Amino acid sequence: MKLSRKFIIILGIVLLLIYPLIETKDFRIFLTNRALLHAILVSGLVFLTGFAGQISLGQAGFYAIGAYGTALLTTRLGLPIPVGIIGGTLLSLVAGLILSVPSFTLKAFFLSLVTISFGQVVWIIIINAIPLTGGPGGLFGIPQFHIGDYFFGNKAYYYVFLAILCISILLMYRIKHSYIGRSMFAINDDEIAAESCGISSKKAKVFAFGFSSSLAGLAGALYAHFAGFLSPEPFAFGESANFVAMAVIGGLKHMSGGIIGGVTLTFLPELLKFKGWETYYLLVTSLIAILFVVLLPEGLGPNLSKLLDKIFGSRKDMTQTLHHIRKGSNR
Amino acid sequence: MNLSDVVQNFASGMSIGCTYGLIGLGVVFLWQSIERINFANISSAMLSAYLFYTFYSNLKLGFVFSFVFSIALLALYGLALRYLIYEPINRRGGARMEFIVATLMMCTLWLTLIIVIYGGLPKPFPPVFGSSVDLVEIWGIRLPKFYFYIFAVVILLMAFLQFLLGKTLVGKFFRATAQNATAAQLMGININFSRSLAFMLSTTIVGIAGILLAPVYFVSLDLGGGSIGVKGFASAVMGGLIDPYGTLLGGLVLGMLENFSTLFISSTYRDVISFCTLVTAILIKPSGIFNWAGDKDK
Amino acid sequence: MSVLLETQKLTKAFGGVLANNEVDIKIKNGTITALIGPNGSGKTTFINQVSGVMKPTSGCIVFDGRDITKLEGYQYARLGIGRTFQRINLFNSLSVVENVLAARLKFFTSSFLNVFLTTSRLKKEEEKQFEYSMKLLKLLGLEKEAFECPTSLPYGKRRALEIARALALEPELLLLDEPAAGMTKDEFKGIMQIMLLLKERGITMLLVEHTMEFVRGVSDWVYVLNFGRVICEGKFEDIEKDPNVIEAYLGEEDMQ
Repeated sequence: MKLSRKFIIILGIVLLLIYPLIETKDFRIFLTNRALLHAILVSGLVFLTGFAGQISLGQAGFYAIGAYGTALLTTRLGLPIPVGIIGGTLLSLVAGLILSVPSFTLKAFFLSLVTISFGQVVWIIIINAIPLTGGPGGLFGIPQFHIGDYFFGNKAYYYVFLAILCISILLMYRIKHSYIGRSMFAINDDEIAAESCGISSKKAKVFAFGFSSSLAGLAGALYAHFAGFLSPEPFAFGESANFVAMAVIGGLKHMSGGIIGGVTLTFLPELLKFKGWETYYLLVTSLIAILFVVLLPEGLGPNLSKLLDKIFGSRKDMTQTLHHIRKGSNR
Repeated sequence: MNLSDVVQNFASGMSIGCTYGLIGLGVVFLWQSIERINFANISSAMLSAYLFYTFYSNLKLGFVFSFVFSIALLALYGLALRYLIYEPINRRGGARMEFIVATLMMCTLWLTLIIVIYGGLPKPFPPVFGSSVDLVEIWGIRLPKFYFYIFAVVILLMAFLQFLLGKTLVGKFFRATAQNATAAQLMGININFSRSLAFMLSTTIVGIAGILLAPVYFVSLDLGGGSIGVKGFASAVMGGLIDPYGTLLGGLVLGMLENFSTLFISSTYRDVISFCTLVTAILIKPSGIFNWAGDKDK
Repeated sequence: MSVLLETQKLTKAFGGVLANNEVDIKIKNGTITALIGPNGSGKTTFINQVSGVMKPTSGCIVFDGRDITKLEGYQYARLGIGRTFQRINLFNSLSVVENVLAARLKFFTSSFLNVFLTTSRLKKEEEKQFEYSMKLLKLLGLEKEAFECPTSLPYGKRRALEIARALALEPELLLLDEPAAGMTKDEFKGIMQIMLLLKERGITMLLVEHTMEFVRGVSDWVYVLNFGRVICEGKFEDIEKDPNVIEAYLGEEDMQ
C-alpha cells in the first residue's frame, strides 16, 4: 500500500506540471490561476485563524494593499515589476503587523469587528482616493510579466503561481513543525497556559498576522500584474467573507485547507454558470457553501485525508521518522 | 441654520438611532445566549421589509396582518437559524469560525435570493406611517409624524421586553440561562426553550427595526447589507454586549452623529462614521461605554 | 535559608471585593510551601498573580531579589516560575511530546529565518530539545504516549503531563494549583512522590491544596488564607491546632 500512495503522489505532481499543456480552453487556465492566487491567500488565513486562532474578516484589505501597492509602484513610479511585487508585499506585511496590535487585548468578537473595519476602510479609500487609485473607474496599464519581448500568458502565469504556492506551503510546513508552529497552536488552545510556558502570545500573534498578511499581499501583487488592471470589486467585504469561507470549507487546522478551499470555491460558481442559471448560480453557490460548513465543519481537508487513509492505509511509517507527527495524523 | 433645523436633525437622528439600537439589541440577545455573532441576523431587517412589502402592497392584506405575519415569519427564521445552522454545527464539533462563515453565507444567500425574486432595484415603502409630508407641529416646529411612530414602537417594545424579561418567569429563566447555562440546567430550567427564545427574539427585534427603517432606506438590499450590520454592532458594543438600555443609547448616539456629520461631510462618507464610531467604541472601552449592567460573571 | 519568592502587601481587588488583601508570603529556597484556606479565600488569585497571569492592584512580587511585578506574563515563566493549573489546561492540538516541547521555547536560539530555511542549526536544536522532552516524559511515565493526543490520556496521566510541561521550563519555582484534585488516595500519593523527588533536585514549590493529608505529607511550611488575608503560618502540626484556622474551616470536611 505504501507503493500505491507514492504512485498517486507522483501521478498528481506530473498532472499538475503538464496541466496547462493538455488543457484546451485558455479560460480554464485563467480560472485555475485565480484559484492558485486564492489558495496562496487562504493558506495564510488558515495559518492565522486555524493555527493561531486569530479571527480576520478583513484579508481583502491586505490583498488590496499588495495589489494597489505594486500597481502604483510600477505605473506611477515606473519601478521594475519585482520591486513592485516586493514593495506591495512589504506594505501588506507592515499593515498586518499594525493590525496585530488590537489582537493583544481584544476578544474574538471585537477583533473580528476591527478586522472588518480595516477591510472596509481600505476599500473606502480605494473607491474615494481617485487620483491615487482610479476609484471605481479602475487603474489601468499595469505591466504584465515578461522576459525580454516574451509576455507571459495564462500558461506561463500558471507555473509561476504554482511555484509560489508550493514555496508558501513549504514555508508553512516548516513553520508548523518548528517551535513557532507549536507556539501558534499553543496560544490558540490556551493562551494563559501558553504564557505560563514562556510563550509570548504577543510575539506569536505578531508573527501570525505578519505571515498571513504577507501572503495575502503577495497574492494581491501577483493578481495586479496578472489582471493588468484593478478595480475595487475584488476587494469588497464580500471577498473577505469568501476567503474565510474558503478557509473553513478547506479545513482550518489542515495544511491543505487553503488549497482545497481556494480551489473549491473558485471553481464552484463557474461550474454552476450554465445556460439558464445565470441568475441562480450565486444563490446555489452560497447554499452549497452553507451545506459544506454545516455538514462538515472541520473542512474538506481532514475528510479527504481520512478518505485517502482508508484507501491507502494510514501513514504509520511516518511516525518514527518525523518526531512531530502524531500517529495516523490527519493534520 | 435655525432652531427648527436643529430640532429636525435632532429628531431624525433620534428616530433612526432608535432603530439602530434595536438592531444592536438583536446582537446583544443572541450574544448573551450563545456567545456568538450571528451575521445571518443582519438579513432580518431586509427580509421583514420585503415580506411586509409583499403582504401589504402586493397582496393587499392590510397593515396589522402584514406586520404581524412578517414578524411571525421572522421569529420562525430565528428558530430555523438555530436548528438548521447552530445546532448541527455544534453537534459536529464546529465552533465560532464555522458559525460565522455559515451565517455570513446566509447573508449572501438572502441577498441573492431577493435579487432573483424581486430584482435589484429598491422599492418604495408604502406610506403606512403617514407620508413624509404628514407633519405634526410642536411649539412651532414641524416634524414628520413618522418619527413619533418610531418612538412609539420602540417604547412599547422596550416596555414589553422589560416586562417579559424582568417580571415573568420565562424572562427570569432566560436571564439565568444566559448567565450560566450549566447551573441553570442543574436547576431544571429549560435551557432549550430559553435558547430558542433568544434566537427568535433577536431576529424579531431586528425585523421590527427593518420595517421601521424601510421608509428611509427603502425596501432595498441596503437593509441586508453590511452598513446595517455595522450600525447594529456599534450600538451593541457601546452597550457592552449586555446592557439593553446602553445599547439603545449607543444607537441614539450613532444616529445623531450620522445625522449631524452629514451637515459637514458628504453623505458618501456616512458609512465611515459608523465604522469610526464602532472602532472608537471598541478601542476606548470594549466593556461598553454605556454599560451599566456590569460584566457577565465568568 | 534564603527567600526565593516574596510578596509584599500583595493586593488584588475585583470591583469592591478584595480577593487578596495585603498578603505577605515568603517562600524559602528548596522548600515546599503550602497555601491552604477555605473555598473563596483567594488562593487561586494568589497563584495567578505570582505566575504573572493577573496583575496585582497594589503590592509587589520579588523573585530572587528582583521586583517582577511589572513584567509580562510569559516573562515570569522565562525567569523560572512554572505552574500547573487547577483545571488541566493542556494543548490539545499538540501531541504529548509537543506539549512539553512547547515549554522548551526559551532554550531555542534560532530565529525565524532559521525556520524558513530549515538550517542545520534549527535541526540540531529540535533534536536536542526532543531528546530532553522524551527524557522528561520518561521520568513521569509518559514516554509510551509521546505521540498521542492529550485528550486520549486518562486523568492521572494528564496531570502528570501538566507537571512535565511545567518542568520543561527548568523552573526554580514550581507553582502547583490543586494537583491532587479529583484523585484517589493512591493516585495522589504518586504526585507526592514526584514532589519530594523534585525537592531533592532543588526545586522550590508552592502548593495550593484542599486535601489535608496531602499537605501534611509534603509541606515544610504552611500559610493559611481566609477572606484574602493570611491568618496563620507555620508547620502543619502547629497550624492545624490554631483556633483561628479551625474556625475558618468550620463546616469544611477536609480538616480531618
